[in-house]
Amino acid sequence: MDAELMATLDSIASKDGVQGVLIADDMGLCLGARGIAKPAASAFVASIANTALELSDRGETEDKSQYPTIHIEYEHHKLIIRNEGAFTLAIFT
Amino acid sequence: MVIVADDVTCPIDGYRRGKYGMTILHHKLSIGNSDMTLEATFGQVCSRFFHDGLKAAIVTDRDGVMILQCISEDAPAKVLEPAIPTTFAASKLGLQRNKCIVSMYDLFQVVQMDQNPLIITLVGDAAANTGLFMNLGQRIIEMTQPLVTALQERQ
Repeated sequence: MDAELMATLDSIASKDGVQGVLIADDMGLCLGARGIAKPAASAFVASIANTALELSDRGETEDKSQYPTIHIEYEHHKLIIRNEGAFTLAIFT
Repeated sequence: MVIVADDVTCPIDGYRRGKYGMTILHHKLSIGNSDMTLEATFGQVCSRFFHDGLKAAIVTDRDGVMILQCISEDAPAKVLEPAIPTTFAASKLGLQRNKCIVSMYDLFQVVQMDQNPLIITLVGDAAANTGLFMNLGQRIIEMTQPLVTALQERQ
């Protein structure tokens, strides 16, 4: 499972425009980071995703389309964060 | 920051007597354009994490003498008792220095970080963001580095 996760991260990081990838677990711990993504950022990424989920009107449904996707724009890059349960994925572009 | 033994006359105001007779002089630490004590800075930094599930942030020496503390109002009553022993003995596993220990319990989690001769203990909800606590621990390590340097020079 670990090798598959690393392979997925490598695959995402190799795509055009992607500067970094980070995946965090539900406790805010880093499971993997590539490129400009720093492992220490995993806690904040998970926290942002959980906060956004609390703000959304997801109700009791498990429909993953109800999970928010967070876009954060910085001066030189963008950050996309998505959580669909146990893991939070952050992509730096 | 100056640490003096109990039998030394300390004429300067603003000292606090520790549990084992150690006296710690509070030092004015300049942060940006304002003068803040280390205690005030510690409290300001840690209290921001109360809404993230942090219950208590404690800095002690290896004997359990309380040096800094920031306790949430809804923290468990026994959080200040020296009942969370740690010796960072995991450093003997052959994996180099043990920097951090995370202990998960039913209701709470405890994150302890080694900053010899100090120990940083963070107590939070079991479901809280452990990564945030570890980041906070790193910030506390940086914040208390002058104190550690003073202690090491004294030794």
